[in-house]
Amino acid sequence: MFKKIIWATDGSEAADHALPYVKALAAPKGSKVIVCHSVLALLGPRAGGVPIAADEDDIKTKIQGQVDALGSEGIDASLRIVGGDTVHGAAHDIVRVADEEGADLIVAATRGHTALGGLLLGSVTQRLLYVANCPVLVVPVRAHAEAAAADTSSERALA
Amino acid sequence: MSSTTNNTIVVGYDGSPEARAALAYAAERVAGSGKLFIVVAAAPVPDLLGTPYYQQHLDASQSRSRELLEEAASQVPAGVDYATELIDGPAADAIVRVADVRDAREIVIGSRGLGRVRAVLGSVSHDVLHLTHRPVVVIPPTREE
Repeated sequence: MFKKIIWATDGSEAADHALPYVKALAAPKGSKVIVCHSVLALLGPRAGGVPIAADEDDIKTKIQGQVDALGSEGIDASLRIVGGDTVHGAAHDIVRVADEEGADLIVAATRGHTALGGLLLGSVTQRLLYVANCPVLVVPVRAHAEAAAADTSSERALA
Repeated sequence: MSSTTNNTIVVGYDGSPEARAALAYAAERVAGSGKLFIVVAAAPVPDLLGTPYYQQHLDASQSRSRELLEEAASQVPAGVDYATELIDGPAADAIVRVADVRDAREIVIGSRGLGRVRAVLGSVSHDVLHLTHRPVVVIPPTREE
């Protein structure tokens, strides 16, 4: 039912928890998956434009690897690395991509043990809920194990 | 017990346009798959047992929720398997409780103006995210262009 699914990732392990859901949703219907990573850069005259994450290159390599892995599983996946909207934050970058691509779902993971921490801390996922124009699937970290089980079974069903 | 055996999707319904969108979304997700989705309507109960006309409040609240469920049922496309649940208490609790009992793999809720009334407590979608460890799909408010 989804033509285009956006997977929002910051390259963290927490973000990876949403990946099995992306696969499970995309695989049966041949949906297009757009892996969206927003690079936050420092603001200011001297350090302006420098990514905040020191291991940004490693993160990009990891995400590119995940995109390739999706591709080798037969999922039409592409990578979009965006950035620059540091004033508004990553959520706005992701929503902009979703709007441009006409995506019908954004999948994102919550960080931490419950959604609570993320909600209180104003995480990117939390902000996504406020600014997104399409449905947002929020995958709590604890749901991961179950999804992995569901994922392998759907793969088995397809095989 | 895992989501491999259970593909139930739970939807919160309060009659709002966002709830209708959530319902349509859930129906589409389960259509043709033989899976089940469950529509939950909550009947808010008066805060204190000593509230005057407690029973009347309760009856009114429940009959309103029953109407909501009938309304919801009328919107489900033919051939889609669904069930309804009427639960007393706050909406977020009701939705999460049903999801737990049914071991739902996903919860779908409409978000009513989450963005604009951010400071106001008691947003149901907010509460559901706090209370559950299940994946939640939040349907954005219908925007008037």
